Amino acid sequence: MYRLTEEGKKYLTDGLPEENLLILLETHKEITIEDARNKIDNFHIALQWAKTNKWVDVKNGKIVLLYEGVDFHLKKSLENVAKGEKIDHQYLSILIKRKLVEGERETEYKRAEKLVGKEIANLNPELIKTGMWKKVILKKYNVEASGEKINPGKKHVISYYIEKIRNVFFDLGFIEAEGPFVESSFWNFDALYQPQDHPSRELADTFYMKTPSVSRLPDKRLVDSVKRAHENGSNIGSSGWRYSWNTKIASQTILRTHTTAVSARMLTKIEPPAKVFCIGRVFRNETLDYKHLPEFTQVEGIVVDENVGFGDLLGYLREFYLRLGFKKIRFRPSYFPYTEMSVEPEVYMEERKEWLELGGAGIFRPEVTRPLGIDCPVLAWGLGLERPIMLKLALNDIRNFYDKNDLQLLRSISWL
Amino acid sequence: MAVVEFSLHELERLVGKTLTKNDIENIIPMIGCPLEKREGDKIFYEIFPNRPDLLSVEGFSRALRCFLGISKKKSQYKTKPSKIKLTVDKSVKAVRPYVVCAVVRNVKITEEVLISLIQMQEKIHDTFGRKRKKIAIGIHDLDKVSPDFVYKAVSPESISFVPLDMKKKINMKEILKSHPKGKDYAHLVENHKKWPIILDKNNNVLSFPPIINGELTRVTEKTKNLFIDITGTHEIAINQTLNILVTSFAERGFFIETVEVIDDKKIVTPDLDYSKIKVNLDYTNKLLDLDLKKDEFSSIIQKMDLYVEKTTGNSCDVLIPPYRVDIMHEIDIVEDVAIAMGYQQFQARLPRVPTIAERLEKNEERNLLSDVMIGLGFQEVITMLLTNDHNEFIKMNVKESDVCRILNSVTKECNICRKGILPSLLRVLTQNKHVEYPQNIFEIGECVVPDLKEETGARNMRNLCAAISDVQVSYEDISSKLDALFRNLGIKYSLKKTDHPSFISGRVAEIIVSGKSIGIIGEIHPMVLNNWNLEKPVVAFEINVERLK
Repeated sequence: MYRLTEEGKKYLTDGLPEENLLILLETHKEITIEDARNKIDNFHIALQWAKTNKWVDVKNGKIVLLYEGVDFHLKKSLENVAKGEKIDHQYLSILIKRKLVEGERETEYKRAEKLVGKEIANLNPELIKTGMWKKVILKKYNVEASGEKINPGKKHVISYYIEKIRNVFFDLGFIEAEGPFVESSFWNFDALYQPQDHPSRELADTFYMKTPSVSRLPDKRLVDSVKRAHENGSNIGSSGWRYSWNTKIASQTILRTHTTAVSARMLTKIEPPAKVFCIGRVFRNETLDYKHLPEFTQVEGIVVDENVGFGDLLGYLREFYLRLGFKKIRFRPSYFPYTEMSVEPEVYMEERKEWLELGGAGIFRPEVTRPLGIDCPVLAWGLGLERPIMLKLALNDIRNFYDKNDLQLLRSISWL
Repeated sequence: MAVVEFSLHELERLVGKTLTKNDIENIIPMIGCPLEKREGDKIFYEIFPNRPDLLSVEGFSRALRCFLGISKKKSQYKTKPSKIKLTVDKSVKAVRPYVVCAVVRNVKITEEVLISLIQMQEKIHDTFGRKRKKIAIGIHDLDKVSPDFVYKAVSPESISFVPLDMKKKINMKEILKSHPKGKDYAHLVENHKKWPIILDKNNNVLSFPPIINGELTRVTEKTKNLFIDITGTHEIAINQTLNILVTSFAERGFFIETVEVIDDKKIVTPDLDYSKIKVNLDYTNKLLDLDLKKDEFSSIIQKMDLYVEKTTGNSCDVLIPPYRVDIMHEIDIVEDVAIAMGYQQFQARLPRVPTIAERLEKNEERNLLSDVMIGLGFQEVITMLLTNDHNEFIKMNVKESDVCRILNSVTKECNICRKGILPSLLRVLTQNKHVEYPQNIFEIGECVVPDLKEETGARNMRNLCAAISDVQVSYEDISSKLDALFRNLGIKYSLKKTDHPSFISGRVAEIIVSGKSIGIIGEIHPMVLNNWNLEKPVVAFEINVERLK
């Protein structure tokens, strides 16, 4: 249903301006614009529509009638609307366009009117549009009740921390690196000066691949210099491990046991000064229990520069851990076959009121860096991601992370 | 990792000082041996694998005397010839080529000595000795046998003797079958035709290295003189081990005597001479941010039982004790300077290497994908790369295909690398049947596929997989999500109907981007749901995100 607007009502009484112009012309045949303007309300509208309808034309400052006996359909349509009768769609759309007629709000009114004086729960568009909201009582809610439980889409907690750590590295100006999960023993162990009989290379610790079982080694010069470092310390003032290095053992394909393999590969590609980090999955031949998983995430950074030393290593470690939110950090001696000095950083966990070993660090031995073509110190540190997160969130089963994916836990976990 | 147990009382006696709580908990660990725990008189320290000389209470206290400043002179260990010979027969070269020996006289085997001896022997075997493969130690009551000795390899059934802890004479083959140590270490000899043995001049068995000694030469509280044999595969390591052992005995005032080992050439062991390494003071100072003068350097390294012999210019000749196995390069001395001074003495410098950060494009893309998926109401999960044939192929109703396979996994559940994420997500749904539905989950994760073009024969592949499970869920529920994902990433795609054994026929399509199939979308086949023990329908898609561009 439709009804007249205020303007529509006025035209119903006074006539539409262009119709009034036509009536005037029917008596005078022609008339000056000046004259017409004085006699017709809304002359501008009248002339525009009369011209559009090709009823009149303007010649030498005079309005001339072109067409007689015009049916005033719009006027009739206005009357029909006023009576609540149906009108031709063609005229209706013109009337609506000219804002003389508008959609009926009567039912909205009626619906809204029913609510007057009542206490209602939901404010609705009818009440708002008709202004009836003024005449209803909006019920007071129990605003102190907590909301209904819903489950939003959400990041996994590990992703959250990976992102946080990536950003710490970016803030410190590091470039991000990656490497393959299926790796050669050469890059995972030999290039890091881990002797071929080192316990961590044993079957009980490292996943060896059945297929593909053999890797291609890098170019012979690089392989030979790594071999010499192991066998006799090469020409870098080291005794080496003093055993016979075997290419076959270096070619064995494994799942990488640490992201240090990525650092080793990167050392052959960069020029100092450089800072590189990698966050990625690593693998150890472990059974699954609440403390162990065969897969976990390792974080590792290296700083390669002519002028850095032990103080810089401690400085980068301090900055890194401070930015991860640990307020206190201290350093202890440690041991890794590929670093010297070797450092074990410990951070103070406020939540647990105790010092926690968090990762390992050191300066790569010359036996590692020189064969890879780096002549300056390389600071390096790494840590496993899961343990500190477990402690922070008071989780006690590492399987929660990758093995179980308990949705209830993932949905409810909060880490801020 | 080796954890040693010492009696505090015994340690204090050998160090020559009462150790305070602070010494035990804060000072001593800074030499590089974290305190594991303390139980009354017993203290437990972790010893790093580069310092097997600290595995005995005697060696540990020797290091502490220097570190705590009690001793400032290098230890002098005197030896004299025992005139005892051991001849090495060529037959051992194939199985266990090297042996060195020593005699220790005037021993007094108290309970403390015996405990230390056993601990040192066990810990060296397990760590530095690579579970006896590289090094095996035999310690004997010298007076029960008659020198000279011979080390040779013999047929396993040709010699019988009473092994330690047994009463009956049995042959070497039977020892591998029935003696606990025989079972543990059988793999070290069983593939050889002839096995190593050490005999005296009357063919009495001292030991069957690296398996077991004879009961005959058991060391008891009555033992007065010791004969030590160390056999192995690494000549330098067995000499170092012998040095560690005999100097530990010497710390108790026992006398060390040398043995002539007659191999291709004649050698006399142990050789307790100090070795030398040149250390450049500038190199040390630069790495440590210090300005040490020669005499400061000299007195600092004394705390680590290292001694400057002479200096030329800025280079110092440092003497290394015969029991130290960890010094390979001057950098090892630099670290000992840092340890002697205490890591807490060093100033942590503000980062000062100016480089510009660089993000890996693929990880930025990962975040974009993840943001849209989370916006669409999906919970991210992270699952394992490692899986098994059952989950990867059988439960998914697909044929086995080429996959990266692990040789030696200790768990059967983890013996191949996944090639897709969908099975991992179905596993997550199976594990969460008790949790409220709908369950909308996704993972952006790595898979590994065989690829002969790669140097390792395999490459990582990053996929995105999403799944919805609810009482009622259909193809449109997931295709609308895929559409929203691609629209938000600005990627044009089309779906092309296909068949896939994991999905319901007529409800599965290939996802095509730039004319190539990059993934699959559809309703999981009820047979697959049965295989996974799932009761509610599941719709899913999986795409290789590296091929989105």
